[in-house]
Amino acid sequence: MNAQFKRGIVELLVLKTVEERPRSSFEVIEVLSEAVDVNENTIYPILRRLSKQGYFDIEKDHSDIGAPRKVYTITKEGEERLAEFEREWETFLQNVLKILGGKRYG
Amino acid sequence: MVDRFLEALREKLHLFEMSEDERQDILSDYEQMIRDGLDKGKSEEEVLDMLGTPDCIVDSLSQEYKMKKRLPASEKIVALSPFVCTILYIIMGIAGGLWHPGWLIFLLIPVTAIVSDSISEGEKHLLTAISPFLAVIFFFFLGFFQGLWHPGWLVFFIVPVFAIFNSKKSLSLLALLTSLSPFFTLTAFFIVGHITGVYHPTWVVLLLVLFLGILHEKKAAERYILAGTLAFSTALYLVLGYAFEDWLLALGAYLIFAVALLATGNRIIQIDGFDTPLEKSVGVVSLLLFALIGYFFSLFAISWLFLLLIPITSILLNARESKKFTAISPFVSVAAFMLIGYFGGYWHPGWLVFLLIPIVAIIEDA
Repeated sequence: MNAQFKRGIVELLVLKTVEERPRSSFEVIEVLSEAVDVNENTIYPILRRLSKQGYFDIEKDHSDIGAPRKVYTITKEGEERLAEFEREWETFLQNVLKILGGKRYG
Repeated sequence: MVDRFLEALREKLHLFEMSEDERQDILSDYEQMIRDGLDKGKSEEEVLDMLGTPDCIVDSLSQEYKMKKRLPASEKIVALSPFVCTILYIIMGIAGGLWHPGWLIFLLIPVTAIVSDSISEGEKHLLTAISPFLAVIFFFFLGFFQGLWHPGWLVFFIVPVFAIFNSKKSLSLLALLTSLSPFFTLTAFFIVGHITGVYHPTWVVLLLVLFLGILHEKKAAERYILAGTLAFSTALYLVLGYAFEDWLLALGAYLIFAVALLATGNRIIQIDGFDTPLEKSVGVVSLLLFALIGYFFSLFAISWLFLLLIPITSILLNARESKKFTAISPFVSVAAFMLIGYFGGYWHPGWLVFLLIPIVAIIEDA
């Protein structure tokens, strides 16, 4: 699959995973790598970029022993971006399925 | 394994244009991810497999950051240095007949490369890296033009002195003085000896090393007793020596110090000028080899090479894993250059060994 295309999907999945509940970087990587065939080392740079773009807030969890753990929480901009992303993705999928379905079953 | 991973990642991150804070932030994120993975019961290997190799990580990050570009000006200067040196060498040779020791100008090639690299990489050990070259140039200058081969070789002490200054900034003043004292006292001893011809009893200046070592003793009473008896024994030795002109008898004065050593438990005095036992041992052994081989075989012009073991050990223990051989290459090439020149008489083409420095750097970078 085209790398750029795959990155776009991973971006959507990262946003969705953090929207479900605040998560640490490791949790995001763990959830995504268990669910889909994705190159794990591409996730962190995306997580970092999305934070820089203001889609995530970073909170520090001091509850554990040792250095505080960074936890990513989705922002309002992040939720809007996710909603837009999901709409685009659904439209895209419908169109793809329409073509594939037509070819296979038509 | 984790340390190696983080160290490798740190080095790879230096390839990108980003602030030091950001670099630290990324590293601490990876540190946290590794900790999280281990907390969840995964092995180090599993966690690192999951995160990917530093190369893969950097490859992914490269889509988010720009690769660093080296300063073109510094690269141009390094690239031009062999041509400039060759032209200057030919001019000096034809115009002034200075084929020898004009070839020393070629030493400027590795010096230029080291200086340029240090500036662009923010390297803090510039002085240590170029000290062997400065020492060689100054040594030959003193030798060829002033005939001062002895005690000109003392200039090589700048190599360990710079190394100690550069790597021991956290030392207390006393520890710093103690580390440097062997070099300063030996320099004082040989210079005074050379000028006045009075090597004896000028040698007592070397006892300053022992005196400074005693000041590290933690128990105040023992410290005062040992320092006091050493100072008193030395004063008595000088008085007796000059009064009776029997220096062997005068040595008996040190019995007082010997008794004090026995009375205080005759312990070996700890000098914390070097970080690890290995560094301490190398420091002592290299000084001993330098002095013994220099003295018994009249080979001070070569035996100083043992002093290079001090910065080499420090680099091998402390430098970044992937830059170790580049960091020690100036010292190795100076040693090779001196050995080829001294034993083979090939000073002239010997400078070619300095090409080892850029070759090692290229190989290690690759």
